[in-house]
Amino acid sequence: MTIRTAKAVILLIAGGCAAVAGLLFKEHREYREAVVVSPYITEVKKLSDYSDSVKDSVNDANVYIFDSGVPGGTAVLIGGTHPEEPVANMSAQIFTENVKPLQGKVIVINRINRSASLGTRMGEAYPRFYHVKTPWGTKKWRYGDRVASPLDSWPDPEVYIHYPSGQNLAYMDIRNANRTWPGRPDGLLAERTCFAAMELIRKEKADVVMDFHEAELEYAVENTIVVHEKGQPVAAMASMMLTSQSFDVPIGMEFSPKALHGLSHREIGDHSHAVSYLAEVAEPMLDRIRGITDEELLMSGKDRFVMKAGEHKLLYAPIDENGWPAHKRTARHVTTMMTILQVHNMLTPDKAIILDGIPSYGDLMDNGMGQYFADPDASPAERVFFD
Amino acid sequence: MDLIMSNSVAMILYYFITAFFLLALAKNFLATKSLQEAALYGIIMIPFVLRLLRLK
Amino acid sequence: MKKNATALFCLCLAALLFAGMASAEAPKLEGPYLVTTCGQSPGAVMLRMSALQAGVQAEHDNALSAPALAGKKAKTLIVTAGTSMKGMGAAGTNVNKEIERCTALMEAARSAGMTVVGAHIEGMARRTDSSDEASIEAVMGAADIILVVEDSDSDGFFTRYAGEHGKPIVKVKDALAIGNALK
Repeated sequence: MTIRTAKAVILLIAGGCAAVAGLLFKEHREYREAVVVSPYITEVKKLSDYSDSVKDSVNDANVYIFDSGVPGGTAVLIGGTHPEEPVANMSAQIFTENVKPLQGKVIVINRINRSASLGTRMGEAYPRFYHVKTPWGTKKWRYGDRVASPLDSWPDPEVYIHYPSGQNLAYMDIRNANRTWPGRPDGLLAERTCFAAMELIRKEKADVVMDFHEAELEYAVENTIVVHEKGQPVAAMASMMLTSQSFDVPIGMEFSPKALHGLSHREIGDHSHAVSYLAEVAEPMLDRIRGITDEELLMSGKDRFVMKAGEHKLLYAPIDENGWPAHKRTARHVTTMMTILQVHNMLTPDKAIILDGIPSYGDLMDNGMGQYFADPDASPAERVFFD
Repeated sequence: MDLIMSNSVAMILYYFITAFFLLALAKNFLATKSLQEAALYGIIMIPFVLRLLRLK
Repeated sequence: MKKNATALFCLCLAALLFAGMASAEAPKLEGPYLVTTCGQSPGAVMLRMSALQAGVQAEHDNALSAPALAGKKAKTLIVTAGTSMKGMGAAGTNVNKEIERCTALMEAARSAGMTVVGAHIEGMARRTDSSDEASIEAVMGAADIILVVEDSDSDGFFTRYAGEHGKPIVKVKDALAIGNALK
């Protein structure tokens, strides 16, 4: 074989690989996630309705508003801050698809950093999608990255200087929607996204904001509620109630550090009237010492390497052969939010937010998540939206 | 010039840089007489092509 | 006769042991309470909320220092052990400064006639690293009574510690149950 023939073969193979990879990436980037909003929806807005800073951008997320019409408080639930933590957006979507507000108002964003859900983290061999079995078939979501895609926000600065604190952060964190709060209208994509969300929180006069997350078991801030100082009594009481009455693995509480900027639990509380909470739950898929990185690990949360680390006391959360399945992680987030609201209502009854229709911890543990997501093909078109 | 504009300009320049490196790799690919180097250039060109096509 | 004497001796020993255990297992805690943390973990806030829910008066101050004790009408000082890096970062302190503050505070409280309780109420999540260990060692060492939740003592550490150091221990199911134990 001549060198020219060999090069042609190489080009063919490399081109073939690029074509296959390109098609897979394109399919991932263009996949639209269906959301069937609960019948009690009042309005679906866009983030750009609150600030032009995200208008026509990939992060102009859907904002689902459920208003009971009965005076009370307002809660904002944020999912999808880090799309490599899938239980965050699934927990938010449990509310979007099931909530019936009885008092006050609840506003849900399933995918606040949509750009980060359009591609997975480079070099990690993550699956592109994950699925949940439902009574009507299989529901599919995009798995994603921690930060916005470089296709939407590129290049990064050498050092990211947080606005307005001036704190130096790692360069890629300028694409991280939990390092760019409170944002600015003329910043890069994640900063503009957080600014628009801040505008939503301020204009809707939110009382409670919850940002759902997941964390590796090797990380110290795990299975906990991180809270702004304004919400310490509520978070303390909620964590005690959940540990005592609902969860097999206790949920703790952490104070939001005053000097660590850009995080939702710090900046939302500082720059608005709202009390900001962030909930963490264990996700073994994120551990560096994990084994095979696939959808099975993502959804079952079972990994023998992570378990081995646990045997050597290298983890901050327990893990056994039952793992940390996605429905359990979702159940913890949903129940944490409901308990926080319960305590919030006790302490500030004039700003009560009473929600119905949300499955309990036991419901989600017994039935799984599937039955709480509706079939978009069998639902009225006016209730189907895409994130 | 505001931050959004300056970043957009930088982004366009980065795409030109990507194209420049892709062309340089293609030139080396064509010029090399080594099969191993050719294979290497072929593999290295993939991410540049995917970025230029805004796929990854 | 010899048999009876041995049996009597065993009975007396058992009675003494049981009496000792009874006093070690159920020490009476008396309010009003002052609560602080050695390590800026949320334990003190949780303790106050649990007390509040049970209708028990408890004042909470994460930065309580020995000089600030003057004028306080509390009968019992409770110091929760276990550290939070986020908390210490937020308060601009570290574990060594926390231990220094709390040991001085516990000493001053004892001098003022208060009962000093060392508590660990946030479970195994606050028994993970050397900072937690240092905080626990300092607080339990200076306490008259130890108060723990079952999860914190799931490996029997505090029970063993109390036994070895002759300190009474109060063990409750979880943090929510603390309020009733303070009544």
